[in-house]
Amino acid sequence: MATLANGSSYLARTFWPWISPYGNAIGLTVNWNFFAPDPAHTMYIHYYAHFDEENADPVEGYIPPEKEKIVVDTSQRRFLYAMRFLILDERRMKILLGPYLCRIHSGAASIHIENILEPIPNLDISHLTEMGERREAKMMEYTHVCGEEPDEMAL
Amino acid sequence: MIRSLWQKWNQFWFDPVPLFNLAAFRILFCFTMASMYLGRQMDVELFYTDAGILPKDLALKVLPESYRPFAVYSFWPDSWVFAIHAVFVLILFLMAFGVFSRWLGFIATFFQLAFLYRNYGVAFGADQIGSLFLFYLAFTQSDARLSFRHWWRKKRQKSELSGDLLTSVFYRMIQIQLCLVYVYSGMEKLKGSTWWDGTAIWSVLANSQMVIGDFTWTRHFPLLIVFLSFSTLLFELYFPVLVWVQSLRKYLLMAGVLFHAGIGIFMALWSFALLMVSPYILFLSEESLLKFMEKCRHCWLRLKMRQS
Repeated sequence: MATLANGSSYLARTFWPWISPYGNAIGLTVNWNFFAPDPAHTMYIHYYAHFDEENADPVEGYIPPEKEKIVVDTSQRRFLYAMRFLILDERRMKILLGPYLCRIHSGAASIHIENILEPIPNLDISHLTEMGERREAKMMEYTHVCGEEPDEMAL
Repeated sequence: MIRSLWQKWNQFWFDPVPLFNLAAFRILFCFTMASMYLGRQMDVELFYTDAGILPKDLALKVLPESYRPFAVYSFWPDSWVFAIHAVFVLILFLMAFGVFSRWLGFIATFFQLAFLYRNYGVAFGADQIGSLFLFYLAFTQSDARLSFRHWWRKKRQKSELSGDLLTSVFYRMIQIQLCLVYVYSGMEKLKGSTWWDGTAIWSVLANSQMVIGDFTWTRHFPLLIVFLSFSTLLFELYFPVLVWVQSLRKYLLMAGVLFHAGIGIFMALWSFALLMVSPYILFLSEESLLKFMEKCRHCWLRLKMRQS
């Protein structure tokens, strides 16, 4: 229980080959890091689905659809968590998110995905000034060509 | 000296534990899990089928290699997911009512892990904690009181069930697991700069994806934010030690209830809050739990009287 929760410790590195198969089997290898090391900033995905047909306008969307607003419904919140899980790793974003968006926008030729981050302003600055519009930062963008086989080995 | 330590060790792990408290924990925990997963029922296709976010053949590949179980447990075809999930929810409800909780506990743990590893990306902290508590609970005689089984035995005039060794050991495991969750969570926070400078709670309150309303006005009360940030850290780091001190226990548990109520209210994470608070019941004595329940009943009656 104690060793498997801290995989980077010397103890875990030493005993991992013997204990981790059991720990993984029952879901014991979990890093308990709620809001740690620091609470996350606001982030979401902005995407455009492009179609081959002439004059077809690209479809714009967000994940989560509520963008930077909270989702109270637990199922929708799971979707938000899935998005965070996917965009925190570039490979997951390319191999899973691209094909998923192609599936839900059937007929799309390509999907342009942007990973948007809205940093939380520092408390010192926020305390002294009025809260203005927050600046968005594009962390990553990527175009997935639908129908292209994802390189699963990269995962 | 060694003999007395050995005796204390044995007492800690193997002495009989209050089965009434264990039953109360089972009810709160299983109802919370069941209602949380009932809410997920309509979205299982999105989360757990090939038509959804994550195809089955990539389910384990998204995890770091050393964190993968030996297989994906969800052996059923996609067309069965809805029914299997419904059965899982039903099992959790049955466990809450105390119907074959020990056997159903193992089946529920299997389903829980199957869904957890089928798409780890959609898992909450509540799912991770829930799977461990469910696993430990399966080993205990949690349906010895406040259960269908208890009622049935009483009806047939059979003697009351007493706890066994496994029940005592896994009762302690649940308590220790809770302490470990807090202490690791606290230590991980110590790595973060915002927890060190006391502004971490501001990062949560100002994040519109995390809280249910606009709490940016709290920037006018920076000392309150600093107080809340450091209190969170101190609580998580010291709970695992101080909760074992009898005279401090009730204060620690009350602080914990307030802490998780805050998470539930401001972040709408009620399931997580309830799952974390449910094992607190195992730290109480049977008498104090009964007294607490009696007080709650009185309050409820008084409220009802006032309304009428």
